[in-house]
Amino acid sequence: MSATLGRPSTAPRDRALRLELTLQRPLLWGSGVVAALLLLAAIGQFARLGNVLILLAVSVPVAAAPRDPAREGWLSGTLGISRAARVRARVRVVLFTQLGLLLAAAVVILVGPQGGGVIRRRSDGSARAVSRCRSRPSRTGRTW
Amino acid sequence: MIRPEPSGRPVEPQCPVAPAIRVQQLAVDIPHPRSRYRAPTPALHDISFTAPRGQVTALVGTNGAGKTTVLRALTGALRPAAGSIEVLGRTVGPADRACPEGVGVVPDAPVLPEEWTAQDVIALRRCLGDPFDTSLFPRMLQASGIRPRAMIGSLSAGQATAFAVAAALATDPRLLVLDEPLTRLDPLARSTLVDLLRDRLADDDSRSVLLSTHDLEGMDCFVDHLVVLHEGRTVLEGDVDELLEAHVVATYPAGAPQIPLGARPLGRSGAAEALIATDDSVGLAPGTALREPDLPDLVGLTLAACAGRAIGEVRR
Repeated sequence: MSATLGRPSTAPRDRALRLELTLQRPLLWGSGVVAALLLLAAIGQFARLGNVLILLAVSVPVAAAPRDPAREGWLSGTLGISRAARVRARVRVVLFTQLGLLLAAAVVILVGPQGGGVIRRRSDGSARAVSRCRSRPSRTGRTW
Repeated sequence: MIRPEPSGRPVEPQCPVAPAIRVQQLAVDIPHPRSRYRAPTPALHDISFTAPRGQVTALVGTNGAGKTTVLRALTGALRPAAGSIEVLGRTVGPADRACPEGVGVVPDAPVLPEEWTAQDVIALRRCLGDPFDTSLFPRMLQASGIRPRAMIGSLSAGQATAFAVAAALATDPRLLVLDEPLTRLDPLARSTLVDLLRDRLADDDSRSVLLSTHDLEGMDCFVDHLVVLHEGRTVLEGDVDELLEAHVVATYPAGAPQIPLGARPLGRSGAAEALIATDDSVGLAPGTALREPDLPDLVGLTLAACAGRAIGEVRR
């Protein structure tokens, strides 16, 4: 077999993780694109939608769940991946995706329009945060 | 001596004389499809068989007998409730024990995502670091009339089977497990597959095949070992030639007093035929004809006897 593929690593843990990353590619790409768009919107002071990313992170375990467990069990069985390795790999992918989304949400909230908006001081000394974007400005106290 | 794998997990040494598959008193419960808190359904009760190395073993049974469940348990996809499974000398069954390397599996339906193509399969195998013949796989697909860029979901049932067979053979497996591969293939593709498997076995004596099937017509020369399942139990197992020698088909005339429970009726004449042990063929009633069975007789009459006994018990 001259055209046989090479063998990077045959560790069961690595193989299960690679399979999981391959199967969850649409979820990972989708989450990444949404996070990138919202980050751009926050950095550009257009909108602060960190809550969307938090909701997305909450829904990751459901989105990553197998639609047909029997079929996925067969698939990992045919590829020589044990049930335990498959579950561990899925948990790892879900946790890291959630962590990434929550980090992105934190950045969005911190750099978004309200957090970085313009503060206008009134004549009586009180301050008011005014955003330059679609987010509604909120009243704040003196210490803000 | 136990060698550590790259992951640090010890691997049992593979015994060269061990059979390809050894299953002992296997019982499997299928979890409830909707809730984990509901009682599981017992699917297999007592399955024991051995698939010798270098031979073709046929797993035969009625619908719901447990053939696919056995194969899923062999790949480690299902947790056995009791019993033990050894595949290529390695124990399978506990959650952290996968099917060993060198086993190619062809499931009864496509298990890969429907939007995947042959290129995705090659990419996955490359990503997993599996030995995969990237020249054989496209050649086999081309021979089956499958376009390389065709998505799995767009293939017909027969083409999907051919796709799965090609993907399994490209891994150069020592044990090939096929779940009802012949059911969805046309006669030409079927004979091609049988010839292909026969050639592979002829090339290397250590290669083995386990296939589950309903249809054993014309498989006499191909199948070496037979396992018959009925309602989650093994009812017949052995070398095909030995089983054929050990049994005869007795055709009882209408009204014969000795017709066993579960004999298969022959039309409306009242005559019936049953599979009996060669040793029991002495002293049958006059008019009882005996003939040598073929493989479909062996399976069909065994299953008819099981079904007949079950019906008899219900009537009683």
